[in-house]
Amino acid sequence: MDFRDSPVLDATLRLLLPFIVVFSFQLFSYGANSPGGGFQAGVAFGTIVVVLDLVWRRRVYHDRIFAGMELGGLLLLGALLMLGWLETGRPFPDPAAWIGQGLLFSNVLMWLLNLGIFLEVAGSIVLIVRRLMESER
Amino acid sequence: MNGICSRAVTAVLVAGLVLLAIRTAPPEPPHRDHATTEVISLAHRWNIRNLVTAIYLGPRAADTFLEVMVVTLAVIGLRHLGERP
Repeated sequence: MDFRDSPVLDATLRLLLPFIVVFSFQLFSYGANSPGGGFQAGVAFGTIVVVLDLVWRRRVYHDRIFAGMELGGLLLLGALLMLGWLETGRPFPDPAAWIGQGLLFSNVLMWLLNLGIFLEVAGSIVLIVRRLMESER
Repeated sequence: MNGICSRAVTAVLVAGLVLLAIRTAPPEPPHRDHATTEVISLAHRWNIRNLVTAIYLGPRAADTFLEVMVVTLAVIGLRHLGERP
């Protein structure tokens, strides 16, 4: 019996998926004020998708979704980079001018940067591992 | 015989590096230096608590962006490799 045929694994992953997705959102959202950040969130999100692909032997979500996530993250980071160059002549704007309220948006620029990195890394991890799995077949 | 020799040499090298690391390790705990104080003041100015975020999205933001570009290039490269006839 292959490990992928295990009903325990199947049920566990189905139950864990929404929690891990929400946890990855928490990691990038509160990354400026607690351990975490865009990279960690992207890796968590990408990993659960890759594990599901492996266990369920099919692509859980289409490649286009992750390509779209990656493009969105890239565009967001590019826009913030351009904004910084136009404002200050340096990469990215001055974070001191983007201070918000509360713990979630304590600094709006940090939140946006973490979001961009999360989208980019999550999309990339899934696409890279899927391509590598394809090439092995 | 070759395998045993190379393992022995590796073991000696690793042991030597470990001894060197132990001998040169600072006896006192690390203290806050100027750079750490700067990062703490940056984080305070930007209203964030995570000092790691203050570094990789602050003074090293360009490196972060370049790292993101490297990941993107990996995706593009793998895609083109897959499309090769």
